[in-house]
Amino acid sequence: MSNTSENPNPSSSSAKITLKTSDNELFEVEEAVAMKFCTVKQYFEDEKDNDVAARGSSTVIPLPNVHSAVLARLISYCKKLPQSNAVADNHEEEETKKKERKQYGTPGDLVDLISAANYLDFKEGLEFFNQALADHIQNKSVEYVRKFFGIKGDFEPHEEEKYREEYAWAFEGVDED
Amino acid sequence: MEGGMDFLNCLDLDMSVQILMYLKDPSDLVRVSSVSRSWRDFVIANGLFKQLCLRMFPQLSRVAHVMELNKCGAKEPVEVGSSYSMEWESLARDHRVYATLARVCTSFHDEDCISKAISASSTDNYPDESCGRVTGVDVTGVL
Repeated sequence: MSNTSENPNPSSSSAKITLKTSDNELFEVEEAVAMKFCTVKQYFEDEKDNDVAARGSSTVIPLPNVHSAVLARLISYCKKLPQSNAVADNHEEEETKKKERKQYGTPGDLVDLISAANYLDFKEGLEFFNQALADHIQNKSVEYVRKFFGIKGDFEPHEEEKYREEYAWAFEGVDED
Repeated sequence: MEGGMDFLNCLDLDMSVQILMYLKDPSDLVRVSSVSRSWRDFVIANGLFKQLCLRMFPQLSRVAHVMELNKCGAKEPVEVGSSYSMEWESLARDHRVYATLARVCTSFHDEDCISKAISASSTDNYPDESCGRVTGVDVTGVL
């Protein structure tokens, strides 16, 4: 994983912060991006040294709980974030977002991204990936959920049948998969 | 699907609860509860149906106690058993009661002509905003 590709916009004026991942990769990221991660932000506040421009890139912030592959995805997600979240939520937009969320593949990937976003206290990311995971449950059939998350149904057939009868309303009209 | 991973096992408790709270339709939680025993236990142990109900209908926070009438008459309190099993029994009862309540509350306002008018004028974002709609019905009824 190369870090230089993480920086498509090398503007000399913006301060850079260096993050070090669990597998000892160094990421030089723009201050604006790094500050989305409250854990990183807190690091600077704790140091009582907010002058990131002066000594930012000389300080390496260790992120022992985050793997480089995950951090790279979080950073690229961060860069795509809209400047303002105050956009009206209409149906079309929700569909676009849903498609976007679908790109974040397997439950394993999502679990990694969620853990990392949680560790970094990256709120928008956490919300996005939580919703991405919830998308695989929302209006999905039980069979789909089992398959997607790799879970074996362990109810006795008669138990399962009884439950489905009792709550028949919840098993109607789920998405076709 | 390759590489399945049971996120309830992999993420910490708070995070898992938070994710399941993204589910805003009671039917989603019912289906989650029928995925496996451990998933159902998770939903019961964390009172997710009750939490969902309270988010949808904050008025329900005034409910102090629930009981099931259809289960062998007045079956409570459970007389015997350790405090653990009593606590579990009460969580399981909450689970059943609030699941049914969530269903009744959400289906009621779909069939109600007032709520239809309100929902038509307010949102097509079902069920995200159903709480507001039901509140609207309540208020209309009182007035």
